[in-house]
Amino acid sequence: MSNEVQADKVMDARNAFCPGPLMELIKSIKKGEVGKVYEVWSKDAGSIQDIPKWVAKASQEMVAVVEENGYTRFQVRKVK
Amino acid sequence: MGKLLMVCDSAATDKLQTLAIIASGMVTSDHEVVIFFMHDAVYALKKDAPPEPEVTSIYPEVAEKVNQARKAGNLLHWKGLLEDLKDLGDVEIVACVQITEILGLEKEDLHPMVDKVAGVNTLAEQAMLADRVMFL
Repeated sequence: MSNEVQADKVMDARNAFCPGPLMELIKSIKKGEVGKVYEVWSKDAGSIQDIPKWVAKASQEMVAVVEENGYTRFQVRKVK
Repeated sequence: MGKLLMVCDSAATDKLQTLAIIASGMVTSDHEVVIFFMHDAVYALKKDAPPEPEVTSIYPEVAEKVNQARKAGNLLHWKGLLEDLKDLGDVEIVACVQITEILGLEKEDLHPMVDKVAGVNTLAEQAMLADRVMFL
């Protein structure tokens, strides 16, 4: 996905093992504002499946998944 | 949405970590979780519990690497993770009344995330209401 936008909040969870990155994202979205984009950085291999799965289940919007050197950036817009 | 009953009677750090990680998968997948702490696991919930033992394993390398990750703060602690999960979803934490009383404790002596102290009939009821039961 390459619909990358400027995130409103970035969480660097590259040092966290599963389920750290997903929990960081969920907590931020829960406390966050509708319409804002939250970005989490993860080196956890499980995040590639777990984060998009949670985003779909929670009916939020996956804006972009960007592969970087050794980690992935997930951008999620809070829509509800 | 389903319901999982988890029963844990161990205070071993690796068991409690595993319990919290499984619970996180259930809650973030929108399932309900009831956790029934028994025996040693209730002791681990004491507000004034002694320092938590390090993770042990029959493989020294596993214990060493997991404990390194814990010390570096790269693993969510089971108590903090369960607190977050209670905030995010439907999680009920129950302490076994028998061991609570044997230890001379009241609910107020246990971690605030404990919802209630209850007996084996509550466990039986929850087991029959749950879609799955997991023992750790």
